[in-house]
Amino acid sequence: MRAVDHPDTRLAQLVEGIVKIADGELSTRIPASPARDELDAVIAGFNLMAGELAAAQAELEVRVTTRTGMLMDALRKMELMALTDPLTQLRNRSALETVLESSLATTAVNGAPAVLLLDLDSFKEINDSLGHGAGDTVLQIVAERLRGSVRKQDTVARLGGDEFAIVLQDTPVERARVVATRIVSALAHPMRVEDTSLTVSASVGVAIPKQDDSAVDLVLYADTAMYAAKKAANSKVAVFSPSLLSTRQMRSTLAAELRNAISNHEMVLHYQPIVEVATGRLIGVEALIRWQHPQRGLLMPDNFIDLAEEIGAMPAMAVWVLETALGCLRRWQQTLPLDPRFTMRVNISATQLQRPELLDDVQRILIMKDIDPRDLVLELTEYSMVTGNEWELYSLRGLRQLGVGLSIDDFGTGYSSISYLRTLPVDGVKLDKSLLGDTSETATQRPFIAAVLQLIRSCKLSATFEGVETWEQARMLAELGCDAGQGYYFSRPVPASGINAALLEDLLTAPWRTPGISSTTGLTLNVAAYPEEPVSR
Amino acid sequence: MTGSALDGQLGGRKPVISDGGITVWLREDGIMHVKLPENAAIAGRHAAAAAETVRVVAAGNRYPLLLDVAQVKSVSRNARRVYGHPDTVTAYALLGSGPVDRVLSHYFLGAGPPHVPAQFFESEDQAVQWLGAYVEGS
Repeated sequence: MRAVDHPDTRLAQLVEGIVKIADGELSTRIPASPARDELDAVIAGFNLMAGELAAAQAELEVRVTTRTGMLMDALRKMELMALTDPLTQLRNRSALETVLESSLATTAVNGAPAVLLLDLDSFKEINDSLGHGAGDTVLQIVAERLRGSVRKQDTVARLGGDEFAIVLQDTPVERARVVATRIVSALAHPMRVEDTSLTVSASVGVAIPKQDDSAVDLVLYADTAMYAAKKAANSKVAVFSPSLLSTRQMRSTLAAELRNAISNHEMVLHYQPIVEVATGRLIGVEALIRWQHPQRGLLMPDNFIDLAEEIGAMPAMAVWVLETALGCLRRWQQTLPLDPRFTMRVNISATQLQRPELLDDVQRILIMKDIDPRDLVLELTEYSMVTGNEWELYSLRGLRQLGVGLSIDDFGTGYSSISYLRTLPVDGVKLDKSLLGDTSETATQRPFIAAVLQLIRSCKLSATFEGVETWEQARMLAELGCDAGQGYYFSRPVPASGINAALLEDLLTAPWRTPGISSTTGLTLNVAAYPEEPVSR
Repeated sequence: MTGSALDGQLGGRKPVISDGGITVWLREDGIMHVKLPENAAIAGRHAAAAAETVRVVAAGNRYPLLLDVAQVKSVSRNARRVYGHPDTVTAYALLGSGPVDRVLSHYFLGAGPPHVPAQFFESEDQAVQWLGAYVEGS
């Protein structure tokens, strides 16, 4: 009980305390009195509640700070993930464009950036032959070498697949070209992947911004230049110029037209006779695709096959070639006195061999056109046979089982390994015309060609020489016992109608079979009949 | 006070006074009695010392605990947190007299460990009777 002369101020203190708490002074406490009465109980409760409030607020602050830190960390990680290529830890396309936009926006202050775009020239082959794991390792090594070839302030990004881009800050074109060359050299050093030593080559496009170019524009320019570098025989680096863009646009137009060429009946097959050199008998033809372009005239495969591969038009084209060629063969078998050994030779690309559907397509078309599989010979490059993966082997074995003939095309231009001649599942070899040498060298080439033919015979394979252009060459091949020849001397590639009884007759009277009669004009009848076929194949 | 020094005082269930003047003893009826000193402000370290004393006195057994808070001046938030552990305590009875003790005790009850029965009493007899139900083996 408090003395009367000491007025009880505890209620007033409580009111004051509550006001202070309301003002945020959570450390406010009110002293208790010795009375320990109900008012003291309220004071004790006030103090305890104030303590709890202060503690809760302190905990909350700590928690907010911790959680905010965690959120910021997570945000940074997410941002990094969104901007990073997970395989190589390089920046991705989106990050590159952001960096580039920012550089372009500050060109006046910081100088103009240069963009390099590159892709690897034979990455698909690495993936196909060594597997995707090895391919990924190659990409990681390439990423590391790219990082090592540029400065810290430059940005290296993987745009996807085997395509990389680099933003070089404040870099003039000469300097960019030097860096691009350095990158090509850095990538050319052998790399060890799964106990295999690999060498990677790359083509680099360089672009420098003009006024008002966006990041997307610049990447497109660099891409266009890279495409030009890829096409150029003597340089792995190309700098963008507007003329390249028009080439690219023309190519885009051509690609669009090519997609419709089959349905528009613009594709045609020409057939080049294959002649038994000993007798002059027509023992086969090679089907050669041409594109009768409505504006640009007759286009040779060099002008569109790569494009067809690129845009995925090859499968349809391969099917069309087989259907057309075998349809033609069926008609000739019914109307012409063909040699029983007469075969239709069709080229098959390495990428076609990788299509699981190839076997089914060949079988279906053979049945549809009522052709004996032995009357079809597929010609494949050495490269596709030697570097083949499991699918290709599956296709080759399947074709063999069907009874289709297989021949190595362009022998002498690729690996030309003698051991392959003995091990590859083929029936014949077509020798490249480069082995014949210049037409003036026929005599000096003779021992070499004799040796090559001997080699092929010893492997129990038939030999066909392509590119036979002169009487001397035909005569020499006949004397050396070469099985067959193909070339302008016998006949240029001709439309289907050109394979007729008259041609068969002409070939049988061929002059090279008669010793002492020299002629360099060959069977000019056919040449004159089809003047639209250009000189090169 | 160290554990070994404590051990020496516990032979005849004598009261042990831990740091901060808190008295701990194991009663004949199997109740652990803890008495907070009157007019004292109990801080976290005092409570921690008392909890350690309880643990040593309990010697691995579990007992109901009578916590006498009568006339204590204040008990800090940290002290209330060191309130005991279900490994050593089967139930809590808080003993006090008057409204201040009641308020303090209820703050204790609010901070107590979950799943351990706890109640405030103003009569020691009633508290002891209630705790009797939680003497293990009784």
